[in-house]
Amino acid sequence: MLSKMLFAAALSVGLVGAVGCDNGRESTDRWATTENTNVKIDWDKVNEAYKLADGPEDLEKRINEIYEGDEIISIAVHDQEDKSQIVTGFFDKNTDGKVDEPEKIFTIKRVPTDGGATVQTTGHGAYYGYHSPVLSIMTGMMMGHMLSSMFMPSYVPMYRQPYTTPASRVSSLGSQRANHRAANPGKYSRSQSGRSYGSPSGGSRPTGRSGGGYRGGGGRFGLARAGRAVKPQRLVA
Amino acid sequence: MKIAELPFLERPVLELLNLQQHRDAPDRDYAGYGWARVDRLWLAVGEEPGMRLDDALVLALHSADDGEAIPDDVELEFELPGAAPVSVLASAFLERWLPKLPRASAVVLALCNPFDAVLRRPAGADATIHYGLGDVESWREDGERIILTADAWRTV
Repeated sequence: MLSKMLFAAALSVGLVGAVGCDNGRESTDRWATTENTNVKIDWDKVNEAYKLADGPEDLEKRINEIYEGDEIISIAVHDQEDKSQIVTGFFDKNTDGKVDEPEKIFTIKRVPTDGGATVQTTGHGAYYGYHSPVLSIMTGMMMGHMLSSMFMPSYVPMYRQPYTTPASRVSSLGSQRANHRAANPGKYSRSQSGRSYGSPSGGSRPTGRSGGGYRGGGGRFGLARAGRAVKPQRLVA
Repeated sequence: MKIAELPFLERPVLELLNLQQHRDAPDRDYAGYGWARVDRLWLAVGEEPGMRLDDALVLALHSADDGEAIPDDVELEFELPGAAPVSVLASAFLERWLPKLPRASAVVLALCNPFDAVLRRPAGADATIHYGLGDVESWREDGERIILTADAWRTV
């Protein structure tokens, strides 16, 4: 269903010339594996996190909850003058609070269009070669403040002076993520070091509906009525 | 009966969304309706964490799977106690009922939208209205988080 939501408005798959990547081809695979950590990133979830984030700090939290490795992913947000925005995810290995080229993991580029914007994610470093489909964003879609603010008449680019995850925040992000993992063990198919826990049943990741055990069902807001001869009276006033 | 006379009442949110008892999957025969204010809930697609909404007015409604397919509306159905069910178009229902309900930062329609109708904003609505596409179901995660899932969520 996630794919349906994300791709319903996709305009096209943004593949461009495949040169220079490690394996000789570009990839749009949802999952990609790092060479240095053997930790996969679920790009669909990363793209969704950007779409729903209320701001840089919320995005940091979401991204780190998605990432299943030990490292903390820092982000940098840089607004351009034309409502474009570039978000960079990086491992701040030297803890200087700045994006150094070898530390880059991904960039998310938002480009304004006549009716909204397009968003595309590109992998770097061990994730080099990944390009997401070009996602079309328009008003009316569910999105967080970070994206929706660009549609407001009063929009002002807040991050012309780039926001970057402060080095001092890395430890609190780690604590938040540890709490999240402890509270949601069924959501993680891998250990912190990236090793698989194995599939609980049937080889698939837990859905949370029947095998995960942490989400209980309530009601469905539709009524099965197929085949009845008489339909109810419609009230009009 | 008139639309304004429907027994559309305030109910405790867990009761309204049929979350008082643990079950593995949503009850497909649930026909309860009404409204509740909730401090926080999440709108999700599938098993994703979803988007948090604070201070929301939740309207629990039902569509029938043999309802009329209308591009910009949904035919609601109400099972009335001791009487035959009636139907109402969502647009007409919201125009009459929203002004009578408490104000909140957001309005959420817990309502299946089987034909993926693109709803129009009701006259007089002063908060963002969130509605789903496809099946909408209620869930409770870890006994705390209230989640509504849909194939996708839209706002108007």
